[in-house]
Amino acid sequence: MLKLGLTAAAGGLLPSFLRMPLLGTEDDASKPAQPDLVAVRDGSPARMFDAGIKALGGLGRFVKKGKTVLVKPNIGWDKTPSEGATTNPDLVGRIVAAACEAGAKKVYCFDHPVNREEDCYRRSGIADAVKRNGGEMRSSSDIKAYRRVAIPGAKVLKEALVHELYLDCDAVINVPILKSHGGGRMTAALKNLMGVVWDRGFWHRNDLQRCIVEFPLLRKPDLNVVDAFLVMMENGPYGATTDDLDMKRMQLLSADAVLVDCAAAKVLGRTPESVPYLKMAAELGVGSMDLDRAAIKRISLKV
Amino acid sequence: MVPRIRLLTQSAFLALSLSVGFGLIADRHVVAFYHGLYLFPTMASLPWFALPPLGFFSLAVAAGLLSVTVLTGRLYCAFLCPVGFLQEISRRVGQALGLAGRPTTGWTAVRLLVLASGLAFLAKRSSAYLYFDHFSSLGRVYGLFHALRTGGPFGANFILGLAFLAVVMLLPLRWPRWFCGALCPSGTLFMLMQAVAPGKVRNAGCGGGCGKCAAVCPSLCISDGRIDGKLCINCLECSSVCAEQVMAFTFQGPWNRGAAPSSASAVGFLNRREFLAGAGSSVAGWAAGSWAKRRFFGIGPAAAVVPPGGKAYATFLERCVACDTCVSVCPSGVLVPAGRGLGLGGLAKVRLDYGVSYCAYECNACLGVCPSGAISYFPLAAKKRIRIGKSRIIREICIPYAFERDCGACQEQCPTGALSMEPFRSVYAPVQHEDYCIGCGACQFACPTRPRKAIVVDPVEVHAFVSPPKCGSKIDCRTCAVGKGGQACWRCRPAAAEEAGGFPF
Repeated sequence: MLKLGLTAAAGGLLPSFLRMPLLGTEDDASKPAQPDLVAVRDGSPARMFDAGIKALGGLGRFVKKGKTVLVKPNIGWDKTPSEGATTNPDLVGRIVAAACEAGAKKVYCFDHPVNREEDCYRRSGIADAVKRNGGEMRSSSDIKAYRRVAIPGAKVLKEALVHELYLDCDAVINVPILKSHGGGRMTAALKNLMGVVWDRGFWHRNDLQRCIVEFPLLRKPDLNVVDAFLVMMENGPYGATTDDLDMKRMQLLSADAVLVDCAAAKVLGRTPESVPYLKMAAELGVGSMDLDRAAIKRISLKV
Repeated sequence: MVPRIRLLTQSAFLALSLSVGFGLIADRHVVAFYHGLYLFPTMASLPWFALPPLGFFSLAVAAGLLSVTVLTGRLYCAFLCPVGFLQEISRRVGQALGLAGRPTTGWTAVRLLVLASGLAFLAKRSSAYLYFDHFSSLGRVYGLFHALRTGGPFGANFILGLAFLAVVMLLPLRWPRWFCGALCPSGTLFMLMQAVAPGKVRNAGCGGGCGKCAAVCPSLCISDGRIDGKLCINCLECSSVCAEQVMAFTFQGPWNRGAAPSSASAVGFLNRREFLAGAGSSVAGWAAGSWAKRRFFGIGPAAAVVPPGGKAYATFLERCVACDTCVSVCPSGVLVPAGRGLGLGGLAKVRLDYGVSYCAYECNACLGVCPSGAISYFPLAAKKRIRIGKSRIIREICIPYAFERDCGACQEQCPTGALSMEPFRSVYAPVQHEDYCIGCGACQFACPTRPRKAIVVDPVEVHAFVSPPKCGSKIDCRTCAVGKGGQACWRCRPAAAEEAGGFPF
């Protein structure tokens, strides 16, 4: 009995003892270090999310029990999932289910689409996926759902009409799809937030790049999951033909929207420096552009 | 029994016409059946081979309608017509208000004038008959509700719809079925057919002593037992109350004419004076229609974008009957009544307004509902390739060109790849590839410049099929600018070196 107790105590002490010299205080030592960015490849979107979020320390890090969650995919276009213009519905469904499992009180999902809302919600398969997995799809076509708020520290986008869910939910999970983009050069985590405001025309009219960067000063998403499974390499974001799609089978997860966008730019075959808003975002302190110094966990699910 | 059956069939048809008119029923068979009864527009689509969806089915329905009428009289008017039903409701209200009814007599010359001018318009490829056609007018009445729901426009369409509503709801308070007896060109055509029809209600010799038949007649066309063949709609109400069955539906053809008393005296039709006046006004109507078509209802050069399936600006306006059905079913609201903007030949017809919305790429709703063949049906894949206009960038006010700021709102929305963003000084600016442009107006609608848009869609005279998008293919690669001394596209570039783990970072 005594022997068993001693062994257990030693076993419990041993790991912390080993880590101590490396990580300083004992408080830090009790938590495993989290990577800044997790990149997963060669699995289905849902499986890649499961592997990625585990490596990022579990969804419980971002979704607390009894709190509300907003899942914000890209549902901007009246297109099917196979056309690569909207976020993969299986991925969105899996995230909604995982958030419910993590104890979220309520999981909402919406996007303010460019095409007609009903068409986009239905044809993208996302409304169906959200409902099947216990989430609630919210409309975005009524201006009453938006509140005018000031953006702190903004020079151009000083205020905006923002959807109440983006303002009120306890956690925001940003789930963009990676695409090339004519006006912004590329669209992923940062650009996807344009879908929570009412007046997109204002952004286009008054320096699109600057507005993309200033909007997250209001609130940054807690977690970004970039869907890079089927990637529109050129001629985005609508995509006139599926010839422009490349099957990358990747997914990028990070709490830092700028960092995840820099990795996404490289998946598109571009340098992060070639996307004006990424440089501006780093300068404004929205996130880090430093992929070299970031702790990146790379996972391949290839069997 | 007869009143009950009539109430049932009439309400069923009013419900059907409401459902089709408001776009609640989208089943193409039901719509085609309904449109077959839409006699003038269906006849109009005949010579042009521009058949609405399931057009031959509609034509068969129209042929059936004409055959039934020529054999058994105006059963359509009595049992189906929603406009007739509305007028009967109005007459009931008039009775409840204590208004004494008067038959709608004395309009024979006018009726024949309207019919003849309508037929002349049909023959001369004009839809100018629409102002008197009951179906198109009913469509504009439904359009009133659409306009009220969406907040306008309250132009020519609204006024025409309101005027027709007043005619069918107010005049019959005193003159039952006034529209049927004074104007309706289909009704006049059916009246002529009923005159020669073997099967109809006849008086076999009663002097009208009991007066029951005259009291129930919804057209008030019986006096002293004499049926006025110009107003009788063959509704069978009189025969259902006639105790002696003297007033009864009978078949009398050449085969049994001798057996019954001569119908000439029992069924009054046109007397000598009416016949001469009618013939004169028919000739005058035909001449007036032909002249008016040339003088007033000509179609000018393309002044607006018209729906895909319209084939050409002039062709579309020649056929459109301004019934507003497509306006009601358009999900994006881009189809609007044109009001007076297109001249008299295009008065109240339909155009696309890119200030309001744009023509959705994944939609062909209006192509399946047009009753007049003005919008021909094309499957969605074909509709996506129809050019209805052409976009034009105005560089002086375009944000990247004029202010050197990134925008891309137009290219973002372009569904066919007719716009691409190319490097311009320090930003990217839109460049057109007009072979792919279908003129859907998504770019114009999205353009954020105010008050003028920096990209506008100009109408085209004739619609055409454009090339399918080809970017990325080796044959016509727009993206890849290697040949022009620019950058290679992602397919032609050597794959980026991948670091450990198969990631490019």
